[in-house]
Amino acid sequence: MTRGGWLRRVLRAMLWLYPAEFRHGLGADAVDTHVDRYRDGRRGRGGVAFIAIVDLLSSAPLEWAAAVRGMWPARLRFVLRALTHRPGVPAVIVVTLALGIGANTAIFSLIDAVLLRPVPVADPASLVAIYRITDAAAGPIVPADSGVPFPVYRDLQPRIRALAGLAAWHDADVALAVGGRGSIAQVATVSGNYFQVLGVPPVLGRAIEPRDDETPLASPVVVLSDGLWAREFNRDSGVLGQTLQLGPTAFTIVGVAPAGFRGTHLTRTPEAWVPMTMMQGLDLGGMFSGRFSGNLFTTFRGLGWLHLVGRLQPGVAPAAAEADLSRVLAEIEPRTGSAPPRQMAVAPLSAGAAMAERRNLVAFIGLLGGLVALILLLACVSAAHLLLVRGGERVRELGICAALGAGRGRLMATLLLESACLAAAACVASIVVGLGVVRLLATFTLPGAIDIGALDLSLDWRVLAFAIGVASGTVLVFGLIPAIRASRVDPVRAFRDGSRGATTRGARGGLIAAQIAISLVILIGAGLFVRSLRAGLTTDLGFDPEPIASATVELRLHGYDTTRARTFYLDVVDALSRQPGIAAAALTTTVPPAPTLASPLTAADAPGQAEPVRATRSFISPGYFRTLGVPIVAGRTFTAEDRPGSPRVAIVNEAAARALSPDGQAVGRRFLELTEREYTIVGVARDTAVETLTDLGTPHVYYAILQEVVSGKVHVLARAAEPTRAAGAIREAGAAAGPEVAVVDARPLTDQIGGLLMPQRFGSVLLGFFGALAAAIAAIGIYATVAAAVADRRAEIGIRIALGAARRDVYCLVAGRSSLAALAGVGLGLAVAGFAAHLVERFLFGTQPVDPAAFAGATAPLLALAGLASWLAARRALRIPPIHAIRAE
Amino acid sequence: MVVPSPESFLPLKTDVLLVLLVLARRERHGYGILRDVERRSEGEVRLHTGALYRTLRRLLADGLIQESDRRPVGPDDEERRRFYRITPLGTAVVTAEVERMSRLVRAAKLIRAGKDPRLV
Repeated sequence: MTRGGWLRRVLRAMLWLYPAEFRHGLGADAVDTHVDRYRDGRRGRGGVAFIAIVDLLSSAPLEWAAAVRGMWPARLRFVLRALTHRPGVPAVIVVTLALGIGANTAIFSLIDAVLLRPVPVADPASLVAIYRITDAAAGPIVPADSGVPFPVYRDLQPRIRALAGLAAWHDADVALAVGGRGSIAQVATVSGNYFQVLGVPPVLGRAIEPRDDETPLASPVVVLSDGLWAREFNRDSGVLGQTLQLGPTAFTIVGVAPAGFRGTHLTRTPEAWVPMTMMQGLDLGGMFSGRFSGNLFTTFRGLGWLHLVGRLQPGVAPAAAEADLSRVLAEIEPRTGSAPPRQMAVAPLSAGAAMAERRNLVAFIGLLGGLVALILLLACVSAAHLLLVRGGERVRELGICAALGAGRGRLMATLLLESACLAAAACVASIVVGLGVVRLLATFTLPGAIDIGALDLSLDWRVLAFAIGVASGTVLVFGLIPAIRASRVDPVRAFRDGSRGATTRGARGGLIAAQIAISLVILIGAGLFVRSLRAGLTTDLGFDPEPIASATVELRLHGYDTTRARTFYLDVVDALSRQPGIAAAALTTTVPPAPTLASPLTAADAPGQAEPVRATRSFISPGYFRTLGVPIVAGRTFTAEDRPGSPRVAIVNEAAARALSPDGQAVGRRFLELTEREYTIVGVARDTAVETLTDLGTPHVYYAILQEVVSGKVHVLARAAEPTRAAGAIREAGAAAGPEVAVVDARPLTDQIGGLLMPQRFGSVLLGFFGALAAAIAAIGIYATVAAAVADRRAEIGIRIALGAARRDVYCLVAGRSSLAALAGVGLGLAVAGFAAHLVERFLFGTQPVDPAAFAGATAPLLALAGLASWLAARRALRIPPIHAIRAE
Repeated sequence: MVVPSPESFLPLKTDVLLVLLVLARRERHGYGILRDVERRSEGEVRLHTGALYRTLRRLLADGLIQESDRRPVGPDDEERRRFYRITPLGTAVVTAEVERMSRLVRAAKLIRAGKDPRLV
């Protein structure tokens, strides 16, 4: 035994770390050289052996890098040639994956923007939203105008020990005037501790402070949002001390909030914050206006309008805060006599943001999320299926490669590279798709009037990475299956009969079934939304919106007092009525269906009736009912005689009439609004929708706009055969009556109602688009499977045809399995859709979740498409000339 | 097959030039190359074995050297040393590189003498 034998053995073993080419080539020689140096013995042997081992270890990665660099251009050329030689299936895989990834990324970016992004305040985790529970079964409800009454907030604030601070806010649309230009801005009226509780210091000046909300109307100060500061004041730091006109009151600018601060909202950003004791100074009307004696809004316990946000004491859980809240509520109830909310819920602000009025939004977003998750699943299933089909076709090719000496590793490396190419192409395409879908989303509005276009919506790269990871994983795994199978195939058999093995046939059937089922679920969803959209567009509003146009003016912005406003209103209606083609014209403060302020009404001549009737309200002109085509069922409509100074009159709808007059004789009865003003009912009108498309039968009361002239937003309505032209006529009439008055939002009423159906429209478009796509992808999968079966059994089919087999038998032979799988998929899809339909129930108008028309309407075309795809592919089998097939053997 | 021009390999790295210069004199096996480089640089240049074989692999691939047919059997049965020898292309590359360097040296001398020669 020569010296250094052990070192040679060690080093030889280490050669396994190297690429095969080097191991079999220069590797052995390199080891010998190491050993030569060792034997030479001119330096310490131990050191030489150590250096040899380190040197061999550290050289391995470099050799690998060189090997890959030397190999991959040729491999890549081979792979690209293989992919482009028959580009159909690879192209479908890439497009499918790109759509799945792109749609997912876009929708989840939206979900992130609307629901998940934390509120930009200090330590948002310890903030809680506090809700009033009006009905324990229904959970927390915060309709637009009901929260906590101001006095209740003042009672709670000092008593709750579980909270470090309890703040309140209320949003209002307010006329804002800067430099003579008027606009409408969302202004938040906040408690003095609001900024302190949220932990947001101003970037300039000071925030609203507790001293600002001690005395009503005493502190007209305003904190600007960054947006308003930039837009109107060019970020001038000298803005402090200047005034900002909000409604009729000049507010002194005392501070500027940091950029990005949007209070406790997730989507809307108030333009400015004012102390809530300045409510009356904003001219919001109703209980906030000065027309009621004293400060009704600070003392009235009947109407909750404040939203609460609290900061938990360190270490206190929301549940403990809720218990503390119940204790305080029980404590203050007997003391005040009137009924404060009996029960309130405390939830983390992030979760709270997903509750209450946002419930529809959350449900809708959840629906979108479910949809795109399904689409990603479908994309992966389709890609897997197509890769299996393609792999089946290639077992022969790969078997031949194996027979020619390509090792399993080399085959796998090639197929991996091929899959990687597919995945890379899909990634690039998916970014394009994602950006496209984001742009498409921007044209829609979410429930809660959230304009997606106004959100800061960009592709979320984390989601993109996740979706790409899932899709690439699928491609890599299913792309490798053919290589594994090919390496098991006996090369001789591969030559002889191109065996495609039945091993993946079962899997292929399952994948077809899954694709059909997913497509069917999406298509049924689309059907339900389309049906709802149609039902919504034809729903009974109590009037026909078709011939009506509407436009909006807001006279107080232009400095009109009530006398001038009254003249303007009379002029506009008069001018419109005299126009040819316009059947009637009117004014109203609310165009149904739209969110409306509600107030409690108490029957004045029925003292026994303790419970006030909660009714929405609007101010209208005499021609209102004629314009909308709503019949007066008792009494009269308003007339020119109902003017300022004449006895106060009101018209109620049938629902309010029933509630206010148990004997059915509403006309002539009197009631008190907000316990203050007395009105006499002069007429009863047929019910119409009030706030939503489906609330026909909600109590509503009409007041005479020419009797109590309002200076807020007023809509001018015109009835005409051509509402689009009528909208133009309203604009002209407004300009003629007051050249400085801006007439905005002139449009047919159907446009506005169409906007209310946005979720349905959105759902129809998205689900319809993706459903059709899913069906197309499934059909391609079926075609590919049947085509593969045909190619697989060419010889057998040829022999059968030669022996006189019927066309039907041949068809069953090649397409039978796929057809069975498709049928199974339909069954599965129907079952899943039947369950899933209940999840979207809240978005369905006049449509049952299990709507036969939608279910049948989705199933029939899908089955037809599947049948067509398999027939087209199977037809090729019938064309095989028998002799040709046999010769191929 | 297109034969690449010797100039396309220039400039050579010091290791590469030394290996080629060693092989230009006579055929050597791996350890022989190491020893020669060490000896002729008087111990200043010490090639690591891994680096040497990376250089050899590249030179073989580029056709500047080739394996010799000589395969003397060593003391051990399995020891069949590979010998490497320079190819005509390798010789041309070395010549071109030496020419390039001497031009550079000439130019450097002229510059030091205050002239303004062409550099390359």
